[in-house]
Amino acid sequence: MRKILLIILPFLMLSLISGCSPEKEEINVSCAASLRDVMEALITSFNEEDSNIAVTVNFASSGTIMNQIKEGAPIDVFVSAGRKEIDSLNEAGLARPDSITKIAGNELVLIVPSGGKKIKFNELPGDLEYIAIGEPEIVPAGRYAKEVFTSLGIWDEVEPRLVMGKDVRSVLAYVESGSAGAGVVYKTDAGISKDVEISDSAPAGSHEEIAYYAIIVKDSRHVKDAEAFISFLKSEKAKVIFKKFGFEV
Amino acid sequence: MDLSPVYVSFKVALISTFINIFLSLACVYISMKGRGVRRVIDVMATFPMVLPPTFVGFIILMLFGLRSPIGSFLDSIGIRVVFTVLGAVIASSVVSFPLVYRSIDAGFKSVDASFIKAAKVLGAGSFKIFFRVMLPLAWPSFLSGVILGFSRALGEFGATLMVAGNIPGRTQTLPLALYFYVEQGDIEMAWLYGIIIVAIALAASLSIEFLSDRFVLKKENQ
Repeated sequence: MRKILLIILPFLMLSLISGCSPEKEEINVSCAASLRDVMEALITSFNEEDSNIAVTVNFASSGTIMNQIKEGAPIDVFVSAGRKEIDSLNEAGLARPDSITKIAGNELVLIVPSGGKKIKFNELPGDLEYIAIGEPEIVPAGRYAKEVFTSLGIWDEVEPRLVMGKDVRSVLAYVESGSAGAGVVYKTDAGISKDVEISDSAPAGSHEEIAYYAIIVKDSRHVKDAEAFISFLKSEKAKVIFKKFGFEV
Repeated sequence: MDLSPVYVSFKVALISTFINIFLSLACVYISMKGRGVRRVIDVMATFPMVLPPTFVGFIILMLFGLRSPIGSFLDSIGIRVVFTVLGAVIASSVVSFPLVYRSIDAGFKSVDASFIKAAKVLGAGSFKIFFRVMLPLAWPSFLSGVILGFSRALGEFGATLMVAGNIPGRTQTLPLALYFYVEQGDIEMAWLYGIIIVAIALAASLSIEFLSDRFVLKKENQ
């Protein structure tokens, strides 16, 4: 009897984790890291309107989420900080093509720790040891930063000094702590931190347009709820919130 | 294929293993001075093992970051910890220290007390007993501690990412390179680095087996 109990017990434990099924309709939303604060405000506002849909949100770099979707992660809505990730999913047949929606825009800025010396993209001081950007392969903000440095013709000079963050918020943290003397993030990221200052804006036309796109993942089992959420992101109410956090709509 | 992560990893793991050998021997020596001291050292030495490496990394960052008094002092004399190999060494030393210390300590504890008594009677000082009598007898545990610590230092990820960052060619270690290749969806490169790590791990565990076998055989033959 004891032996049987010993075998059954682990399964009982497991069922404790998987057993709790949600009562409400639940959608999984994965968002670019730069949307962290605004998305939390948006979801609160969305639930004031429609409390029957529970939104579970997760933040990572857009490239990371794209790869998770390719590996079959149960994500319903993906909000990317770049067009490339969306196109890649669409080509792989993993996005519902009619669902691609542009929801907001942003700007790329160079930041320094608060009180630090103001520097410019095209005049980076030689004694600046570390410049933080997102890992260009997975972080759209890092990709745009690479485009800026490349179009200014200084990529080769900048590259050995780069510290690559796993998402745009880790870049922000590197500069906030003073570990890196400068970093490239979105204007909205710089806006939420007291410990950094905007030092320069990326020159016009030096990078691809920065836009956030939402899609519904092909295998989503909650298409209706996902559509409701995306149409909320396009609503006037949502636009006010986006603007409050400094995004362009 | 970029082999710099292999080089960086080995450099970091080797240096931190050396640091840990000296620190562990010192701690074992001091802990023999009395029961109270031993308790304190035991607890402190276990701490990095029971804490998540991310928290260890966070604490190191708080201690050595430029905003802290220690960090800004070190910076003023030209030593940077954050985003450097030194940072990676500190992170992996702290995380792997418990393994080295515990193993070496266990070896010293298991030394037959009659040998120590005999050495004392013959007039050896405590320092001499420690290195000439106890260390040779504790040799198998010493070696397995060193290899365990080396392997753990090689695999250190959480604290290293926080303290040393991800700078390809400078602080990017094998586990960091593997992590970023998985994130990028570059499965081939992830496998390549994974295989290198498996090869190193296999070599490490085989050498523990081999060394302990050799010592056991030797003892039986005596």
